[in-house]
Amino acid sequence: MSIGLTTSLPSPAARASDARPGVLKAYLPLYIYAVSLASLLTVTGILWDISWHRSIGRDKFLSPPHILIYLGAIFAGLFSGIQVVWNSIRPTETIKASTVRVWGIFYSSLGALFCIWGAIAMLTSAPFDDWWHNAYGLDVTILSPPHTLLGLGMLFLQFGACVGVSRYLNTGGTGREGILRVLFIVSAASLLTMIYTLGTEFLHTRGMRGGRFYVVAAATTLLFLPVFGRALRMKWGMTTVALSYFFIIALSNWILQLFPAEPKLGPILTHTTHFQPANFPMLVFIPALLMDWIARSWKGNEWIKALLLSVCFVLGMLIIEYPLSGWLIESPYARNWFFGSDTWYFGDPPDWPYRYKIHPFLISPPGVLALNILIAIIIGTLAARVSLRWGQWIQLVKR
Amino acid sequence: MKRTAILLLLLVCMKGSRAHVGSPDVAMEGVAGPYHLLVSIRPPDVIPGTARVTVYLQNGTNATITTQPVYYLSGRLGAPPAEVLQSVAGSPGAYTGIVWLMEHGSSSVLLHVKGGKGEGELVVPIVAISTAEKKLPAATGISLVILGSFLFILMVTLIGASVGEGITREGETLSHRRRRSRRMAFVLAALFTSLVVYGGNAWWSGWARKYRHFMFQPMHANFRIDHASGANALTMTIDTVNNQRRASLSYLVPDHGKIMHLFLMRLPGLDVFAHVHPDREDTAHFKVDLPPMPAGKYLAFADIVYSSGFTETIRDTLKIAADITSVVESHDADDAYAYALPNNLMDNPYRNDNNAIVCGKPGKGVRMKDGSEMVMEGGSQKSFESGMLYTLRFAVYDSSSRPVKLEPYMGMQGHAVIVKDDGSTYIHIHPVGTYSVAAQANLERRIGQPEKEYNYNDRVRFRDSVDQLIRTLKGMPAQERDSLLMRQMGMSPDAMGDMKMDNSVTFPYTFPQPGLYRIWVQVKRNGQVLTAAFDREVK
Repeated sequence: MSIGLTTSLPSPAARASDARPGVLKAYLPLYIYAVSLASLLTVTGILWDISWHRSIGRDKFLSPPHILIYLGAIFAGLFSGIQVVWNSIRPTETIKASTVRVWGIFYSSLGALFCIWGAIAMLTSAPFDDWWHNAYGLDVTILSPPHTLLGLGMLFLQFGACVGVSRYLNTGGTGREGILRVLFIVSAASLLTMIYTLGTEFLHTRGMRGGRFYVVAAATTLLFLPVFGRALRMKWGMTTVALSYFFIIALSNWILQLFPAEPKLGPILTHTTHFQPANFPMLVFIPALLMDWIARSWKGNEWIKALLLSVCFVLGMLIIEYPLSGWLIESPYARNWFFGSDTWYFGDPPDWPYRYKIHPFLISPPGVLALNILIAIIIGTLAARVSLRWGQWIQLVKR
Repeated sequence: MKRTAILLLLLVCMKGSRAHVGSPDVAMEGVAGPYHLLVSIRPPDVIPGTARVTVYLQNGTNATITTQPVYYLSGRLGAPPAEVLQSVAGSPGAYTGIVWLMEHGSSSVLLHVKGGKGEGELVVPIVAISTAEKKLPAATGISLVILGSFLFILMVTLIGASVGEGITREGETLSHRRRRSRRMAFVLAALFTSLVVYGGNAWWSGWARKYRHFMFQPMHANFRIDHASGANALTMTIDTVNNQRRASLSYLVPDHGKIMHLFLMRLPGLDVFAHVHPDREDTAHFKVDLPPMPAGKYLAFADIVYSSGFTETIRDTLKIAADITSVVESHDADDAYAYALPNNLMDNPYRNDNNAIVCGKPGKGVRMKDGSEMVMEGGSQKSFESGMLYTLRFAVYDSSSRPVKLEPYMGMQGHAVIVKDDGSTYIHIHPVGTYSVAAQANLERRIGQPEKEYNYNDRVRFRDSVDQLIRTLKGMPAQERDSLLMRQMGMSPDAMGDMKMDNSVTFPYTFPQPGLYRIWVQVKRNGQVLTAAFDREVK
């Protein structure tokens, strides 16, 4: 069994030799593969579930997307839990030296602790959500207290996967940096996708001509991307995570719409025949390219670095998304499988006058937009500064 | 999980209050093409939710029955695809399934039956409203508290570990500085997590408040009696201040030709009963002349139907300070009044007052004011069970015990009111079931329309046209009016659907909870409305 993580790690002397060709590479504990996969499973499940509600409307507790989500929780919880139990049954001195001691009896890696918290939160949300539906109705909203607990659990699970992988990236010398980076990118992109999904109400395509979009996008993105950039220690770390987010959404959109799905809840004002995709993903990877360059090049004050990252992100998004949102909604060339702009919720009338037009209500006047951009830059700077510090912390994770 | 959900549902006490009071189930006896159906629907008490539909095929055992929830707002084209009901094991001809109701308002279940005899459809009106406010069951609450506490402690632990051992090199012990940071992190994590829990709780409370805001709130009314004119005029004023549906009051439609059916029953014994039909003065005011009723506190139940098919009962109380003695020529021949004596009397001591009747009991009929007797058939059955669908059957015989031929009473074989002894359950039912015939007619019309979204007419014009219709109906001779109402309901004057007008009348009904019930039955014979009362125990 490959869960005895610490015993498997090479000694510092061996680490130095690992980098040399022909030397056997250290194997990575199974649990970090499991939690990275679980991160992806849960976020894919959520995207499927949202599409399910927009296309079919009703579900059961054991609907396929729910199974995928809870499978992710069980998968991550089980692998992390077994790792902790295994380490705690017969804790050797090596294990004790390389893990975190919990409540005096358990020995766990830090990442696994996050994952366990996430898995338990996700599983706790199940009976809570079930009761919630009984008490307040079979809701179709994303943000309810039980869903938030589920979302928080998923975020912790995904962040735990990032921390778990970072520990090996930080200690180095495993000879498997490539795999570790892939695992980190999968987990980090899943986390970013999850954050954007929770904020859908503020981050949808129709809102991109309003100031609020830029404030929320800056606060969420700049709180996470710089951490990932620092943890990955790659030239294009933030870009890669942002691009991976793009592909998680885009691929799920492209794949989902291939499958038939019929609304099963009245009132049905628009008859749809296939799974409806989500909005076209945001092109965060474009400003991320510049952000990576700034992060790499700027050697001065961290506050100024945060400001530069924020300005770069907010203005980048404004230049790209403001015109793109109009094109996505209005242009007939966007109504295809690639951009998915003809996606529609069955409960909305098909002839809504603003189906292919941005409602004036959603467009901020220039003054208000400018003010919001300024606010977005300020909030983004604060978020980026926190993130840079957070990134320093994640580089320190050793256990 | 599913079992837990079912248990939760069973544990929750039903607080039904809708078109009828405390009796949420819909029972219907109807015809779908060549098939005779008995339908029972238990609507959800929380919307969005699911309704349980059970259909009993009366003639035949082999058919495919599908259901579709059809909302008045979105019509048939806006309804989800039909779903097949499953046959109930061990009960030939019984089919069951669920229907999802996602939005508040007037809805219906469209049943489609297909079998060897051909196919047919039946529309069953239901009202989708949230009436229950559910408490967290103790077991779920305790589990959530345990898991929540565990998550809280683990959160504090892992944040402490994140600034302590987690960032300490392998094999190294925690430095003094890190130990101090860890202690600080414990405190901050505990504070932050407490804040999150507090915020979550506030959010939950806000959600519950919002739910309560959209829950069905019954309407209230104020009653005033004006004796001065000698007409004993009762004015009913609907409270339009605290009223969720005040904007809809302009869209009332007549049911059985009346804009409102008002039932009065004296407390505490429910011994005096009146069924009157107030006229609409304006949107909120209704007026009627009362029959000679004794003084006392009365429960008032006023049934109204909206054009969408939404039905509701306005429940309130009124006080009659002094006996009404002046005999006023009732302006509406369909108004009726009775005084029910307890059934443990050996005989009716008020022989001279032909409005006094002795309540029927198992095995004993009721002598009504024209001397004829109404018997509740199946009299040997001393009590009923709550939650079971029954067909209550009554027959009328003349003084020589010969069956009599009943006449239509407001286009129906008969009307019945079932009320629990404490007034907590009330329902006005007809031989076809617990639903409003006007609601069904409107929903059927709506289902035939192609629009996916219904656009309401101008409210003033709508109200005026309804008032005009009622005036026209009132001006008609009784026979002509009855035959018009029956034609509107798709019935021939000699038959009620598939049933001939004879001496009997039946009502499908499910008693919602155990207790003592009084069943008031009203029929018409020789142009006179006759009222009988029966007491039945439900276990």
